[in-house]
Amino acid sequence: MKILATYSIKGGVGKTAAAVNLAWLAAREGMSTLVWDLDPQAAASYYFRVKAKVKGGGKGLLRRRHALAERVKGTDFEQLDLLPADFSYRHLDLLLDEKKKPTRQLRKLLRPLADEYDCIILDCPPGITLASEAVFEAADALLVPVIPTTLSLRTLEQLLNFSAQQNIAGLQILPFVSMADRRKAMHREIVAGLTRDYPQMLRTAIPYASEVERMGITRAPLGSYAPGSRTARAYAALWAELRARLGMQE
Amino acid sequence: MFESRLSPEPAAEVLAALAPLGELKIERPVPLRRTYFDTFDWRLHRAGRALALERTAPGKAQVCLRGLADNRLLGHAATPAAPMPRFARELPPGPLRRDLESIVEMRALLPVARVRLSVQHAALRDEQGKTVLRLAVEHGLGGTGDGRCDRVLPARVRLDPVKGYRKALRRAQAVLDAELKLPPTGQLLDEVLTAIGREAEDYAARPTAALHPDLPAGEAVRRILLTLLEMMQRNIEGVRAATDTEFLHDFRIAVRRTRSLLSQLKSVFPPALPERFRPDFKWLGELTGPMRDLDVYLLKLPAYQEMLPREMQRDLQPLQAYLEKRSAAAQRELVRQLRSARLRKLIEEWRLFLAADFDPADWPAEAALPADDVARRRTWKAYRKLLRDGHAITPASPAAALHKLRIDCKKFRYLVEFFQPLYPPGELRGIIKALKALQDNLGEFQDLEVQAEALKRFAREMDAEKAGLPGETFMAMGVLIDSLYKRQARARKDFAALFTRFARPKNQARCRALFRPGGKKQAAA
Repeated sequence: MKILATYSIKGGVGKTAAAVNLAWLAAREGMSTLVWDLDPQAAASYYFRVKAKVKGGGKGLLRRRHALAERVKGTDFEQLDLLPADFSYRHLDLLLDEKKKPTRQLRKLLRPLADEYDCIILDCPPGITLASEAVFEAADALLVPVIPTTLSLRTLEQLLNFSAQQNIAGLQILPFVSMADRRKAMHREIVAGLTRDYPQMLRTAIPYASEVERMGITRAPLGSYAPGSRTARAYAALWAELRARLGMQE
Repeated sequence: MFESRLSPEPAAEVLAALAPLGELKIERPVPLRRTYFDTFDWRLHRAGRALALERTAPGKAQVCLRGLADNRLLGHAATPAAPMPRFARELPPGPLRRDLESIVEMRALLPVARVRLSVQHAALRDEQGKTVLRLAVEHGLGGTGDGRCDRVLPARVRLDPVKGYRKALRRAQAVLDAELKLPPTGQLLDEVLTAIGREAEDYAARPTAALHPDLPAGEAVRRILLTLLEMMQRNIEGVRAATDTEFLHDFRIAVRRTRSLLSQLKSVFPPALPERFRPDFKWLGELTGPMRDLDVYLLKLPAYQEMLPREMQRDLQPLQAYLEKRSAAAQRELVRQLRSARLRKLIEEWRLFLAADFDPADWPAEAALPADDVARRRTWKAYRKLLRDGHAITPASPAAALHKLRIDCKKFRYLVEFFQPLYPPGELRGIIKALKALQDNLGEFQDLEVQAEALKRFAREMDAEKAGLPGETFMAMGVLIDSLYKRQARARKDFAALFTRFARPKNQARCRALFRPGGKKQAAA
């Protein structure tokens, strides 16, 4: 089982779109896949048309060892399940803080799912909090969408510095360019610089496109209704690259 | 999975009943043609699996393996529409073939039933447009594996829950129960079998006769022999058609057991009867021997190849070709003999004898004793002989002593298994397990030598043929013979430990309690 997290300190960079579309691609390739919507804004749950409500809330999940598996919902797609968001996740930091070794909690919760899933994608809320640290401990890789803007770049720097200080064993940080607009000269410049300055950067860039925004209306992964679109193809390329980078079998 | 049964024209009825629960996304009805396959001895059904060939489009089909209990798809592979490969090893390589091969091994996949259905799929959605329940209404015809679909099957509703939406499933079940009064139904495969008048798992390689401890011994023996005769008769068609190797194997087992019973319980039978039939069953054993031997060598070929260095593995191909040629000739000869008047007469007369009710007047006094007494006395005697002969074996004993012990083991094993229903369930398991390990060891010790000798003989015979014996093949067979002898030496070394295990005090105490005449009668309860 591989655990990936779509994560960024900055909000509105395409985390959820990446989580939903990559999960769909993984499931379509035959991997048993779970998306855990950790963001109280519940965008991933919305895309899958699942109510953002978890019985017992975040507290209920942290209390029992096998709580996670019981709260999973099947999506409309084969092999693809969702653990919905809950409004109580906004207090996830506080809930974790009540526990011993709070940053180990998510990892512990996910362990019993290893038999059932080949791939788990955590869709994280923005910010850098105790909950983020718990994600860093649980995940094999962080997928970090970076918009080609100065502010977005600064948060990537922050993240890389933070993780260097924390020195978390076995965590790969894999940034990729998100919402890139080829018409903007500044975007083109920054993208060129990024691949030079950050060798761990994934090569595929996700373009800025209205198709992604339309996901809010269609409420389904792009590949399921517009597989030939430029963005859907970009996600497929990103997924192939990611799989190769992480050594995941088809 | 929840399944129900309906009258004809069922889809509209079901969908109408479910309409109040939410939005129904209704698909167009699709035709489904499916042929179920299993081995003669129902290995897939016993393993809780259903294997089917499904026609998806003209000229296209897929092989699907499903769980019997939950209908879950466990594996599939695309194949040409017809015919279904007879053996699992002929399927396209992949996980499905691997799973199937491990379950059915060398047995042929035979069509057991067919269905032609119309399937109406639909999805129930909640107010968000999310699918919360999938369902299928199926109705159509069923038939035998190789016949026409001419039996009307009861229509069925299959509810396929979505993970995390138990409530939708419960509601739909409640509506269907209340409005359509649907009795629950079983597996589609089992329903088709019922419709065509067949029963799943109606053949077992080790049939047990219905026995109880107070039955007269003569009657018990008659019942055991009758099940063995049925086993012969059920396999004979597959032997004639050479459907797979195991028909002959099972046929021979039944013959061997019949012979063993006739000689081991000789004094129980009407006078002169064993003498009358034994030569004919001996003939039947000998007649089927050559074919079985060739089957065994052909089945072992892949293992033989594994024993060779990779570079030499292909060199055995001429041997395979030679064995296949011999096998075809042996099969022709076997079929000829199976048609003979002698066999027909043997089976007729044997059935006539077994079909007659047990009449103490025609049988010796011993036959009137309770089966339990006779079984224990004989089994105890066989057991003690086995222990005596086994303890006498030392590392210096000749091979013949081990061969003799192997026969002791067989005799004991047959007696235990003939009368198995007389013993408390589970009591025999530990003894049989240790005995089986010992028998495997003794069998290996003897068979490896027989195989090595046979390979030498094949080499001489191939050399004398027009096609000749290529040098590479000759060398590969030499290497093989060498490694067979090495394995045989290893088996000889393992013997002592396995015999000690079989004869350990705990097992001896168990056997004493089970078999010693006058011991506690645990079975009587």
